[in-house]
Amino acid sequence: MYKKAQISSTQLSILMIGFILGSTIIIVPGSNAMQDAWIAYLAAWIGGFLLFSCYYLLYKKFPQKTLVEINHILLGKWLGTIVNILYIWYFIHLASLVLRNFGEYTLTVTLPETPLWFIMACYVFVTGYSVRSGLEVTARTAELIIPFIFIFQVGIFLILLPYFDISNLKPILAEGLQPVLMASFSVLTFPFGETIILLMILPYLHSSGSVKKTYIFSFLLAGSILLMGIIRDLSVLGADEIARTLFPPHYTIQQIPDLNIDALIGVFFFISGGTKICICYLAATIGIAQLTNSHDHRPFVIPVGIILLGLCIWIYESAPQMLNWAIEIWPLYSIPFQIVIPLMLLIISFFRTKNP
Amino acid sequence: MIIVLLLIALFLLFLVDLPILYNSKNKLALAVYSFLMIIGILIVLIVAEDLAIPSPAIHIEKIVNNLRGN
Repeated sequence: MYKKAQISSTQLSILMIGFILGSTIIIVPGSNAMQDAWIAYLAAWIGGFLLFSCYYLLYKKFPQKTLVEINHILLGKWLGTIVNILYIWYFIHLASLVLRNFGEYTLTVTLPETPLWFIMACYVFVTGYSVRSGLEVTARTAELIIPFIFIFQVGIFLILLPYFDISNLKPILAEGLQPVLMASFSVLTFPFGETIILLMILPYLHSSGSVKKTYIFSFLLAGSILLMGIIRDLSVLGADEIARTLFPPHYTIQQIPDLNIDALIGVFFFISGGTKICICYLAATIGIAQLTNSHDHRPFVIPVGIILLGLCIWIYESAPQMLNWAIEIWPLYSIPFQIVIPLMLLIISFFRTKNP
Repeated sequence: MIIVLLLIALFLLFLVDLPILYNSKNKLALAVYSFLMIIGILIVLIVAEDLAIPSPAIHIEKIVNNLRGN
């Protein structure tokens, strides 16, 4: 799939929104900052914007190249290949993390008697089919279903408005700035920094001039949806209740009297999580195809799918371990992939432009 | 029994991709494909047999903890 596939800026925008929402929609980002989670989130949102500027500059330098190709150009054959293998691993790991989130959610909330492997196998099959069909199919599917998330999220926010207790957001910065900054770094790397993966699909956009506007729009819209979710969960449940709950948004929606719509959160997650897994899965297969000078990413869909299926079950022993890993380890583990390597590439690209 | 069925299923899936790989005449792609397939089967076997092999997450956690001095 050597840039034969083409997507519109609307489709890119929808994919970005789905990617940013991803599995963040079933958790409260920055919840370790307790009642200051919304401040941590806002700080991460701004930081995410700065990170994106770095990714965007890199994209502007090489508008027709994916991250894998950029690595090859700037780092040379050997170092570029090593970095590319690490990135492909990172994409597969991210996909398995989201997949496991999905499995744990389904197991905890909707299908407690069903074996985990079966839930995962169904999801890998569906996302694998989408990835095998190509980026355009994934983008069109997202275009069809992602807008519902925005409508429902606003609807739920308005329905719950009478149950908001603003005192749950106080005291502000009671523990000082440090916990907020720690939590905001965690949010910065999950989900905002993960948008580095979009460098794998940006070259497939048919008008490269609209990337900046598209990204800013998606970033603001997805960010607002998440912010609405955080304020809703904090105001309705309070920080202590959130700390005790595995999937707070689900529990928040159960607080609506006479209306049983908690399954909607699951539907949101199936949609946004599915989009995120598809993008990670697609990025990994495109990366492998480019690394092997293959003109088609499709042959790698099945092997990567089998790895994903096994890895998402093997990688964490339980849901608490998974959540703990996502908060404690993931931010530090992501630093090279989201910050160090892109910045290094950007610096090298400036030197290369000056001394071609 | 389940593992045998799983391996047969994987082999059948492998047959789906063979024509594309054969037509591309790309030995590197075929080698990487086979390597990924073997890795995938091994991981599935570890999960199916419930073998006590630490997952990559454990190793990454150790490295990260070492780096931050814990």
